[in-house]
This record gives sequence, structure tokens and C-alpha cells, in this order.
Amino acid sequence: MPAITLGLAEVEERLRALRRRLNFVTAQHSAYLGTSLVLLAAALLIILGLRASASVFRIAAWSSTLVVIGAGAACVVHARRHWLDVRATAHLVDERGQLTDRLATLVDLRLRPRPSRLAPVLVAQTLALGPRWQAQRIAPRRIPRSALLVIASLLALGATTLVERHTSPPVSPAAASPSAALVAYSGPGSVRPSSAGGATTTDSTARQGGSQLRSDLRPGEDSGSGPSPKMDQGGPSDTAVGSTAPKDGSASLTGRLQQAIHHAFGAETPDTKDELASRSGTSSDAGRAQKDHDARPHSGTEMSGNASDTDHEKGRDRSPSGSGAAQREGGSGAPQNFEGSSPSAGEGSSPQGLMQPNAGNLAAGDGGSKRFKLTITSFIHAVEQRDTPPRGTGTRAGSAGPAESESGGGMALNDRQLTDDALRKAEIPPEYEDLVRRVFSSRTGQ
Amino acid sequence: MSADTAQRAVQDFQAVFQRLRDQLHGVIVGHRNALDQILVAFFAGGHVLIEGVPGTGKTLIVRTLGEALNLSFNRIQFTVDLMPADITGTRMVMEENGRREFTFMPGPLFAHVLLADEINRSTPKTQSALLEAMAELQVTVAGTTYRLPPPFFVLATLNPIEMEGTYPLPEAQLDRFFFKVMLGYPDHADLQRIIGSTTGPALPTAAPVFAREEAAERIEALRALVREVLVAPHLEQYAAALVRATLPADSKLAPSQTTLLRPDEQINRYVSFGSSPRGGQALLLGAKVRALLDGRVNITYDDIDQVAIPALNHRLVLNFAAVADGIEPRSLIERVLHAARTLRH
Repeated sequence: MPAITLGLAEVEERLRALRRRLNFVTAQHSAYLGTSLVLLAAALLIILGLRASASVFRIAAWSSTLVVIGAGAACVVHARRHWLDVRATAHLVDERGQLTDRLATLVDLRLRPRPSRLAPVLVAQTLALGPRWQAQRIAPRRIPRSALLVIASLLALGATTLVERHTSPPVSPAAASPSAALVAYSGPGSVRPSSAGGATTTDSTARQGGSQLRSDLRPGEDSGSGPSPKMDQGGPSDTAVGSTAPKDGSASLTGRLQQAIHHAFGAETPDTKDELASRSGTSSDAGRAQKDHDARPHSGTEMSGNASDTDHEKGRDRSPSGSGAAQREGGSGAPQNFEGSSPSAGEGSSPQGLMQPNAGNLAAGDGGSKRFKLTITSFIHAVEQRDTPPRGTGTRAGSAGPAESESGGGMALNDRQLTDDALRKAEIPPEYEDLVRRVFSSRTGQ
Repeated sequence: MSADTAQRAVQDFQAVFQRLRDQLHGVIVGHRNALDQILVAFFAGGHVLIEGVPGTGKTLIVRTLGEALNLSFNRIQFTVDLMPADITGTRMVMEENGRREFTFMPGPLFAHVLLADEINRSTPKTQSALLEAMAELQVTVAGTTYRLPPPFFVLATLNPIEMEGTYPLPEAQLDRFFFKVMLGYPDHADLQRIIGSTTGPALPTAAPVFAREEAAERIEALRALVREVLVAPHLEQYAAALVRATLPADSKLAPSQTTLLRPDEQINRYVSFGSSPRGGQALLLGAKVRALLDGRVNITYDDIDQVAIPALNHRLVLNFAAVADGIEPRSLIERVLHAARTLRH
């Protein structure tokens, strides 16, 4: 029966095309669902990475991973379950095209040939009803609704850029002690950078410097020094400076992920903020810092040769005068070499040399440390005298705080320092608070 | 057969069916659904049991159908004293050419259309005389088998009211009827037309649809066409599931196998014996006729559902609990149909 054979072949070909199209739609649905789930999980992780603590983020990261894997498996199972073979395609087309089981019967006739004089009629009727089961009618080419999920997920992911970054909690400047004042300082609102006198820094750069400080003070990474026991007691320890150093293998993965998120979005780590905020305003913390400071040899002066460490350093004018200033002090000894760095505000913010055990000799009562202390002193003084106009000229001998008085009745500022209001221009990052407080408080106690 | 030829054959079937329907409706007032079921059973090659109170037109329907089909028609009034030989025929001593011989005298069974009126009035022995004829289209008398001329169509009537002097039909005999058609009491409008049309000077009659000499041949050809209607495997599965669902869960007749449909609690409670496989045959053949009437050459779920009640309601043997609770087989079959919707694609 050539006529029926031809007709059956045509029906078969159209059915195969429909099957491919329907299965493609199924695959599309599954892919869109899986993609939207992944994007939503990423958005959630970014938000939590920016807002939540490391522990919460760790839980959320692993939970999200499990959910995404489970959902991915469910999508595969769903696609597999809805994958159509020829018979199933025939049933579906019969239903959607209202063909009253004609296609299903034809498929069976093809698979189980049996004599029937009415088979040509069935083929003819099925082909005559062709418009009812056109591909565009049965499986129209259009963007599936599941694509909206992907778009929504992308929007959610993009909305993460609007998430408010963590900032250091504002600290009241009305503190009795300079240490308290120092501790109380935080945030960009406390002291405004001076419009005159050089480059200004931004919150982000300050935080980057803080980040640098945090990373530099990570245990085991300090050059030549192990973690100080005092550090472990709550001093500038890992947690104190907000280090997200992993405690175990799994945490390191999530910790790195969270750090990567913060790096990508330029945020400070929430642990840093939490830790520093918890220490602000407590005298016990100051006392502990005092002990820590006493225990540790201060360098404060080994202005790191890592000139590119922070943005504070960048833009700073590393004029030879700075170097000269760095070498100028040293009333009790030879001029100290700070490896090319000068204790200007930007360069001085590099913590590499601060609190270095092996730099203690350099720091003890020498001019370099005095020079550094001058910087801090001016910082403290500026905190105490907020809203006063920036210093433009003149020395500050006698007008500085205790630290300067310790240095023997005042130290003349160099030209750069005169024009460089460290406090006004640079925001001291929260990461520096503890260090600076300890440095300052140890001197005030003496 | 080409597609055009086959399509013309389908159209011819539709035309013949419509003409028969028209002729019957011209004589019979009302009962349109019952008449359609009778015609479906006729073209499916089955026999029909008509149940109705007296005076509802059971005999008239059969006689009118015989006239419209233009086939040989016989009527048997079943009584208590009716013997099997009175139905099948008997050997009688006949003298021919001076010689006496036993000659088989065919009984009223030998006709194309047989009306077995009030079949429940005769004894089971006499009723069983129809079994071989209805199933195998042959009669065996005194060791000699006589073929019945095709088409052979038995319409038996049943009076459900009178209990005295009646004998319930054996299940084996019931199972041989293709459909059981219920004739209800006519409504007011139909009753008015009945009494108006049957009390006039001229009684309505049916015109033959076929010529006498070709009626049998054409009807056989149409019956063969019905059997060629195509059935997809999922519909065979559906019909089998329906039949299987009429068996109670504790039935000893059915093998303990997992069924596609969950056993219905009312089936388990009220049914002693479910449908036999003949019920499945009736479902598919009746669905094929329905499909042809719709101009299709393949059956659908709806075709099977339309013939499910007449095909199965006389095959369910109910227990005393069903009689006590007033449960009808129709309600049980409707429950099975409702549950079977889950099997549809």
C-alpha cells in the first residue's frame, strides 16, 4: 500500500519534528529553572557575604550549595520525566490538537502492522487535520515563562550592588581620655579630610588600608614573628582585626568566598566591624590594649617598605623631605632609616613596621618612633580639637598631647607634616584603632 | 482498498445507520437512546436483552427492526411449558415417495432476526437452547449440527415486574447477550404521542432499508467494516481495566494480579461475580460502531464509555446486600468509569 506508506512516512516525519521541539522546550524549562536557582543562590550569598558574619555565611553557603545541587538534580529528574518518546508525543499532540487519538493509533499501526482496510482513511484524516497539529500550534516558539525566572534572578543579582556595605559603627567623640577619643573615632564622619594639603582618602581606601593591616597582622604572616600570646588574649589578634582566617578546612573555603565577595564589592568584613565595635568604649579593652602594647615591642617606625600597600601611600608625596624627616629624628642615635618611607600620613599608615618585635630596638625612644608618635599625636590632637581649622603653619611644640611631650618638649613638624593634616585628610580605618590606641595609651601611661 | 473507497464505505455505514434509525423513530415513540444501543449491538454482531415493563414497546421495536432490515423475522413467545425442541426444531417422521424418514424441521430459531419474548417465563432448560445458537450461530439436533444463516440477531425481552412463574436467566445465558437495554416508562409527551398514533386507523410501519435479496450480504459487509476499525493499545488497556475493575478483590475467578485501578469498595461489598471477558469484547466492538457513526476509523475513550453501561450492567452478579441496599449495577459501573478517568492520557 504505497499510498498509506507515503502518508505514514509524512505523519511520522512531522511527529518526529514535533517531538524534537517539545523535548527542546522541556530542556529549556529545566535549564532556565536551574540557572535561575543558581543566580538566586549567588545573589543570596552575595547579600549574606556583605551583611552577615562569617559563621552565618558559612552556614548559608553550604545550605545554598546543597539546595542548588538538589534543585539541579530535581531539574534533571523533571526533564527526564517529561522527556517524550514517540508514543507520548502522539498522545500529547492528539490531546492538544483534538485529533481524538488518531496519531496514537497511527503510531501503533506503524509499530504493530496489521491488516485493515481503514488504515488509509486514518492516514488521510490525520493529514487532513494537519492545521490542528502544526508545530507552531502544538509547540509555539516563544520565550517560556520560566525565562522570566532567569530575568528576575538576574535582577536580584544586580540588586546586590545596591546592598549597603558594612561600615564601622559611629563612635562618640565625647570621650574623656585621648584613648577613648581615639577609640571613639571612626567613620568618615568623624573628621573631614582637609581640602588643603594634599590628597584625600576615601572610606574605601581607608578600609583597604585597614584590610591591609588585618592581613598583615594575620598570625603566621608577620615577618619573623609568631603570634603573640597577647594577641591571642584579645589584642590585635585575628579576631581583633577581623581576620577571617579559617579555623578549619571547610571554613576556609567559605571564608575565602566571603573575602572574595568583599574584595569584589569593596566592603569591609563584618567580623572586623563587629569586633571593633565591641571593643569601642570599653575601658577593659583599653586596659587590655595597654598590656598588649607593653608586651609587644613597638616599632611603629618601621614604615614598611611596602610602598604600594595602601592607597594611603599612593598619592602621598614621597618627597625626599619626607625621607629626610624620617631620618631627622633620632636624638639619641643615628638617624633611622625607614627604608625609604617617610612618616607622612599616607606612608605612616602602613602598619608593616608597627608592633614588630624585631623592630623594637628601632622604636624604643628613638627619633623615628618620635616622629611616628608625632603623627599619632597630631591625630589625637585633631580628634580632641575637632572642627578646628587645619594646621597650616607653625610647630606644635607644646600644643600636642602627651605623646609629644614625651618626646622632649615637642618636636617640630616637618614641612610636609605642617601641611599635611593626617587626621583631616585621612580617615583612620577602624582596623587601626586598636593599634593606635595601644600605641598611644602605652605612651600616655608612661 | 484505497483511502477513497474506505472513506465511502464509512460514509455508507453512516447512511445506513441513519436510515434505520429514522425508520425506527417513525414507528417507535421515544426510546431514542435505547434504539441506538440496539442498532449498535446489531452492527457489532451481538444480541440484545431488552428489559422493560409491559406495554413499553419491546416487541414493537423488534418487529419494526425486522421490517426495516428486510430480513426473515420470527417470534417465540416463551411460556412455562415451552420445550427446547420448540425453539431449535426437531426431527419428525415424514413420508416422501412412499418412504418414511426422519426429517429435521427447523424451529423458529432459524431466522435472521429472532424475538424471544419474555424469555424469563420459560425454564432454564428451554432458555439454554438459545445458548449455542447465540454464541456459535449453529444448532445441534440429534447429533446433527445445522448452521444458522447470517446475520443472526436475537432480541430477548424481559419483564421485570412479574416474579411468579418466571425463571431468572442463568448467568451463562446472560453473558451471551451483547447489550442489555433498559426501556423506561415514557414521559407525558411521549405517552400522548403513543396513544395517539396507535389508536388511529393506520398503524405506522417501517419501510425496508435493504432489498430482500441483498440485505443479508450488505449487513455482513457492514459488520465486517465495523471489525476493521482500528484500536490503539492504550484503549485496549483501558477496556481491560474496566472489565477487571468489576471483579471484587476477593474473587476466586480472577487471578491475583495487580490491577490498574484500585478495587472499589462498593464493588467489593455488593458484587459476587464481575464481568467476563465477553464484556471487554462488547466494549471494544460497541466502541467501534460508535466511532464509525462519528466518521472516525479509530476509537477513543469516550466511545468506550458510551457503551460501558449497556455492555456490563447485566454481567455483574450482585449479592443479597446489594438487593437489600437497593444498589443497581448501573451505579457501580458509573463508579468504575469515574475511577478509570485516571487512566486517560
